[in-house]
Amino acid sequence: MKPTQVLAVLLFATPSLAPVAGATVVGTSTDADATDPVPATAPADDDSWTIRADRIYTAAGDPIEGGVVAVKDGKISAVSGGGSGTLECAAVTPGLIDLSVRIDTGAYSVEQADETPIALRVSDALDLYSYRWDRELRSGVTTVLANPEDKAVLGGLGVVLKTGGEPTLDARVLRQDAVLRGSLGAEPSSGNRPPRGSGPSTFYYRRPTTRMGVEWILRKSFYDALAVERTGEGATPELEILQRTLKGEVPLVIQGWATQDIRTAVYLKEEFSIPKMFIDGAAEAWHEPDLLVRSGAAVVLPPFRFQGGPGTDGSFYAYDTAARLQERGVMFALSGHGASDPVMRLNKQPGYAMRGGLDFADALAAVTINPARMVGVDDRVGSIEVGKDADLVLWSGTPFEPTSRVIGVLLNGELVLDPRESNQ
Amino acid sequence: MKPTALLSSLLPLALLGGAALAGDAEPVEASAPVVPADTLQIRAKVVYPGDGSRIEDGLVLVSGGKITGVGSGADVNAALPVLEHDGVLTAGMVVAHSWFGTGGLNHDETRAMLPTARIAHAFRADHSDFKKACEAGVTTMVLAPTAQNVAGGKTCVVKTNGEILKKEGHLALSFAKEALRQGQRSVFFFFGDVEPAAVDDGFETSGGASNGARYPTSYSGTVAALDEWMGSAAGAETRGELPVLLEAWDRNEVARAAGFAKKHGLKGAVRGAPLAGEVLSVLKNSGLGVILGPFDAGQSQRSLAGLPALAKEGVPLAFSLGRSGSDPAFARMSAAMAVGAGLDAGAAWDALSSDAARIAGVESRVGRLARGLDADLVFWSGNPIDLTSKVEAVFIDGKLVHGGAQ
Repeated sequence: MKPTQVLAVLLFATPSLAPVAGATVVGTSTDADATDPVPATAPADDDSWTIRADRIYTAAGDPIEGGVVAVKDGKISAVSGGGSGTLECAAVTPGLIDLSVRIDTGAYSVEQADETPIALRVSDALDLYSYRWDRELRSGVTTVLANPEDKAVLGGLGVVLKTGGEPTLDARVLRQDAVLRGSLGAEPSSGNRPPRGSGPSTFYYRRPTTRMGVEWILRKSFYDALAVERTGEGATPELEILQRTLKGEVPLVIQGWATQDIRTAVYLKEEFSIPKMFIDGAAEAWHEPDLLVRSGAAVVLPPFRFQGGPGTDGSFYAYDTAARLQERGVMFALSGHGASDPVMRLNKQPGYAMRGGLDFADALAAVTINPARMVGVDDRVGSIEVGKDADLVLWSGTPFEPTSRVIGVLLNGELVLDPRESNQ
Repeated sequence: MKPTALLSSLLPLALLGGAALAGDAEPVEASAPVVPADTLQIRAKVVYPGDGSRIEDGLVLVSGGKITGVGSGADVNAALPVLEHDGVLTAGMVVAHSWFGTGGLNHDETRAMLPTARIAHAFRADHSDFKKACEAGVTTMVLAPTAQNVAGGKTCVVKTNGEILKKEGHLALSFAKEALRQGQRSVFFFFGDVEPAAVDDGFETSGGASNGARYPTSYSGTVAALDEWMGSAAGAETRGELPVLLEAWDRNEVARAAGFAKKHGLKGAVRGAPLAGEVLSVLKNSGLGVILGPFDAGQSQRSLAGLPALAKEGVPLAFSLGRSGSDPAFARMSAAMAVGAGLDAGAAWDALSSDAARIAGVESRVGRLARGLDADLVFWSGNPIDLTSKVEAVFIDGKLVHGGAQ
């Protein structure tokens, strides 16, 4: 081992092997234990794998030392200690889940002729042929939440999908209309004013042009939905979706980087008693964690090394953010934002969070079972349990360490990155 | 063509002449009144009827602007005049998509949804585009609105003599980015990472989205707007009557267009789709055809490589000629590039004739040499897929419209 590698390892806390604390998961059921029956039919050889790992991190309890995960017909068919496998690796984890993957078709993914195109679906605007899905998949991210770009205050409905398989919605979508996407801060109003020097904003320009305007539109939208509820008149497809959000059927995912926007999101949740909300890009969540605890809002943290950069409203993201939220019992997930930079990808994020003081088990949960629960797909993905989708990541060493790499990936039981071809 | 097949194709014409051909293959007596007197006899060294066959020393009979028979030159009635052609005779070419003849005024920018607009009222019949197309061997063309409106209106199918063959050809819809840009703010001054930093400084970098911005500006808006229209009375009526011409370029746009067609049970074709070969299963599943090109010599191999598989899977192919003023010779150039990439020459010719006619919805009128079809004929010096071959004469509806020193 080179001296630099030794140093890198020492920078990180020794991974804690404590079980995933169920108590840290706020407001979610534990039906992840439920299993589907595994079909008894004999699969073709390609559909059937046994993965032998020195350690299996299930994200559903203690790691299993020296065990085997068996895969059949796209599902996990058995998890046990001992045994040998057709594939071997140092560690196996569930496929990673990114709730802020930000793979979209840019300006074509969000409707700008309207500031609240609530009923539009981002699934109608995805490019499933983009190489970016494959880049995520091969780095271990198997399930993602895709949202429209944040150029509207309420940009439409997000979709939970797999990152691989046939490039069709039928083949990839796990949950349609999984969330309603909203956005605070400067982004939804940027560009709505006339260019400097060409005269004042007028009635003819698109609202909003300021944070005040963004917040006003959000509140007006929910008030309109309440008015329909009360009077029974004026229903539209858009207001029906807002009503479902108010009932907790469609979670609201709202972008807010800086403290002031996180506050706005929390106030909105409290004013309208929105049962399920998570704040995406919540870089300054460390600043006033009590607000999050009080409101019950969950958080999707931005990728580390994304410091106060463009589009983040000048926010500051501290390394101990995840650890602080964990201490307070705030539900959170880590995200990679579909970064092209290997340094920022989701498979590195738990490492940064651990550097900030988070336990290994909690860091693992923040990229697997927690995000699965936040968007209601934990019956299918998020942990290594019999009956769940066989989405697995194979590692060369202890996961999330800078000295470890993703050497194998299975998606729905199909080997998409072969560890036998890795030059480990 | 087998002798029996040839005979059967000659039989109706023989009946027309009032005298049955004998069962043997003896040459018809010069005096036998097999061919009516008002019939034009065209005898060519090679005839490609467009059904995959090749007739050496072929004969095509024309009467009243229609083809009345296709057969062997041996059956010629020597008592009547014969037009002899020492070359190849084919049906006129059909171009399944173009913006010819409209001088660029083939969309209305003020509305994204103009499904009831008609190009039939927007083209100039005596435009030089058509003369050039005719001289290049193109006798039928689809005139389409541009991709800049989500619903651009109805296409029109015309002959290159300026006559309208079909007033409403397709409903033209666009899943392309072009249709969305009209409503989007235009960004200038800054690109990439510089822009948001400038926004933080309070500097507006865009043209400003306005409340009057054209809807839709997004792919999801496109789907929603078209879904809504398809659900309307006008949409339901059109859906039953007209095929669609769907502009789609990126693979995700093609997949979106194909999914839309499937959802609403629409027939027709995708136009654009340079990587159609990579979305083969989606296209095949939708039943849509594909209109590609025009291809120049520099067309990417990645794009061309997918064409043989498309043809093999039975996806109807045709070529576009693109904008007004472009060289109509690019129809054959496109086919030649496709053949260079491995497309069967017969399939390439179909893309220039019968498949294009089918996509244009006029296959019962043009696209092949067969009895009952319009007498749109091209006299070539050689094989039309060979770019060294020249157009020597063109007939439309039985009338000489170009060349013809004979």
